[in-house]
Amino acid sequence: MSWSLGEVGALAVKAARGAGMPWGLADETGFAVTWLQARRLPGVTALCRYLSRYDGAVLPQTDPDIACPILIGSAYADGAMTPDVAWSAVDSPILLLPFIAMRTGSRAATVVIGPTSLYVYHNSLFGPHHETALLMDRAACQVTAADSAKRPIDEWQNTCQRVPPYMACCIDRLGQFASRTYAPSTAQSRLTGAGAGLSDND
Amino acid sequence: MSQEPKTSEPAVAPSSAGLRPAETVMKLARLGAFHQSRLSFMRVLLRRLKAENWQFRQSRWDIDAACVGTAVYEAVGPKRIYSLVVFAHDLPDEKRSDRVIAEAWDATFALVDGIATDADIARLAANVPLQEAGRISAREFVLSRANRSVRLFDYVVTCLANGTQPDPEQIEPVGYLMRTTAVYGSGKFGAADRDVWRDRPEFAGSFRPELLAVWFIRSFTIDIVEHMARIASPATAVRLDADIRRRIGVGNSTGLGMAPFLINHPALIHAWINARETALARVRAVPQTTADAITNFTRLVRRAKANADSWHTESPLQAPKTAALRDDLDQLLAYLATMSPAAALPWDRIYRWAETHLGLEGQEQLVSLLLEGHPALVDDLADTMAADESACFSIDGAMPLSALRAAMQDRYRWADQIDFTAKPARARVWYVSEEKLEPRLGERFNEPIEPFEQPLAPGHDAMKALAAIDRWLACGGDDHVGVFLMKHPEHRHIIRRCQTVHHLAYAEIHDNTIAADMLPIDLLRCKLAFFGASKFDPRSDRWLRITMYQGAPFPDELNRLDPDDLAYPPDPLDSIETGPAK
Repeated sequence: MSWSLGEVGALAVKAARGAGMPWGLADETGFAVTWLQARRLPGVTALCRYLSRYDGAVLPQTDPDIACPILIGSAYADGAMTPDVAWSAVDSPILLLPFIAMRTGSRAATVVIGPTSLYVYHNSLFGPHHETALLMDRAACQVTAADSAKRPIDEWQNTCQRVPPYMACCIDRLGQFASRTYAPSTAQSRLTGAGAGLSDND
Repeated sequence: MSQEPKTSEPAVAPSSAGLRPAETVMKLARLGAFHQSRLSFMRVLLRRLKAENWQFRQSRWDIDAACVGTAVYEAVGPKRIYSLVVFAHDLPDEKRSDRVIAEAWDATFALVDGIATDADIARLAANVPLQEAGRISAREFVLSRANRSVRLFDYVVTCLANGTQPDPEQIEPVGYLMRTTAVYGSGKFGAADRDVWRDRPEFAGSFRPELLAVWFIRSFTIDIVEHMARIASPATAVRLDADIRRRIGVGNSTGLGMAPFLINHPALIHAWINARETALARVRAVPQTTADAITNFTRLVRRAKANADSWHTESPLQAPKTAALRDDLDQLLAYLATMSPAAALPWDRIYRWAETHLGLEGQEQLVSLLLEGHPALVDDLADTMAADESACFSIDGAMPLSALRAAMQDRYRWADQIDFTAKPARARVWYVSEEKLEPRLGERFNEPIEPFEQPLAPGHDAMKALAAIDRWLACGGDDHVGVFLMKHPEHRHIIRRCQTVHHLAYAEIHDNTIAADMLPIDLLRCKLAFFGASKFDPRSDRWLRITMYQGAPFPDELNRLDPDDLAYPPDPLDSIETGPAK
């Protein structure tokens, strides 16, 4: 069993919201997870780990020393900070990459995440082909301008349409976060649901 | 390039003065009075299938005497084949329910990309009958299910088994043998994402795979009653007469699940409405017409009146509106009888007359009828009724907050008139229930549901964001959207929306979607009219039944019948002039 990117993106939105994010950042979370999964990068796993680590807190976490990748990522994509930027510690930094790619466009950028250096150009990501190496809990991150003529060969292309079966465990966990957005049913809510109280059998 | 049939009428550029303003069009009461038109998705789909000479066949019919088994229908186009796989079930009457919380149905369906192999069918047999509790794959585009009409299904089987045709007077008020209670597409429950098929010409636009599936479901509903009649009485059973058969569509029960769609997809809704409004503006800009054209239009109005006459509903919300529509159409016929064909801007003249003489039902029916007679001015707009929503996702953080503020004040002027401190203006909450994940509408001040509120009140949220922006600027905050949002991510959702709708006139509904007196069926009606539904039967203020494809050709007659000509019932005067049917 695999999942469509659309349903996983929608699940990520609900999971982020269930973990306390405002709707607008939850939307960004869905975008980030879908962007990564479309390039066979473990966005679902990263989000699962990120939300689990802060279970019980209200996200985005406000620890001044460890940045929320969704909050600063979306701010970076918005252009709220300079193109060259450095953060001393970013939680689940792989989740930052889609936002850097969104802003980068035709400007090539080098992104350094802990010990790993990546290259972002034209909304594509180039780097060493060990995607799980990017699943760091937290790391220092830096974005700088790069020479577009020197891009590496390995590319994570936007070619994957499905989220693979081995992510079932993380999908289940995101489902638990998502379930926090659902209101428990009450006698009154059943009465006010569509179709309630009337025969629908004709 | 469209291959749809065109008339020789010259194309006329839209007159910007002729576009109706969003303040007029985007009111819920008017959206809730929309009618199907030649831009409706079912009609655009059938036009394309006919123009491209698609072929259709029933490639499997393994249904037993108890009406349990599998059937497959195939659509064969110039480049691709699609297959509707049907699972027929033996459903006890007490388990038959249209609500999304049901767990069993009379028939379940999946639309497969390509020819469905035995392995596909075996895989689908283990999942499709479970619907939401099962999983489908990237090979499937649609998942659906349907229930029999208690009013009509057994009656038609009995008639056919006895060798007689059902009475059209019995058929017409119901209009279907089975009702779909959900038609899922676009990646739901494991189905292929829209990106997989969005560039296929046959699926360009909105909801095409879903509506292809429903068209095939209609064929299955006929095949299954004829099958049951043969089982019941092999010696006497007859098939349905083609003319009676064509008056049978597919029913659909639509509840609150569909209502948030119009709010959640502003760019797409703009594309739909803008196409319709542009088409109307083009027709109104036609400088002159002929006596024949007025005669043909009058005939079309009579056919719309016949549709209204056969539109049965017990709904206290809809019944008076349908009655008013009949009156409106009578008035329109009387007006047309007095109209000179030599009048300048004749269609504009009719529309302007309607604005002051007809109700909303009549005015919006007129819009559909004006489009009907002008395919050369209208049909190409069907290609514009889609939107790349991902293009609206990024936020322009460099935009000055003061500029955003001005844009919001302009676009949400209607919301500024609402006193959101008053309880009736915030009485409702859109939320998703834990039970079956069904969208619901609750009472904010009577139920503990506010923490679960979905962001479906753009007017309210825009006013709240504006107040926060004012406070921010008054305190000397940075005048850039990006900086404001970094500090106030709680407004990110609505500000993304404001930047999207700023340039799209018809993207936002100009009404309070959480008001105590808001009617969700207005949202449903608008969407279903764009689908192509011809009759609307509200069962409460939050769900309704419709009929899809009633009157349309079946797959075996598409090559010789014009689907557009069948969109309205025949002109009643024809039967008077030619006498009763033989």
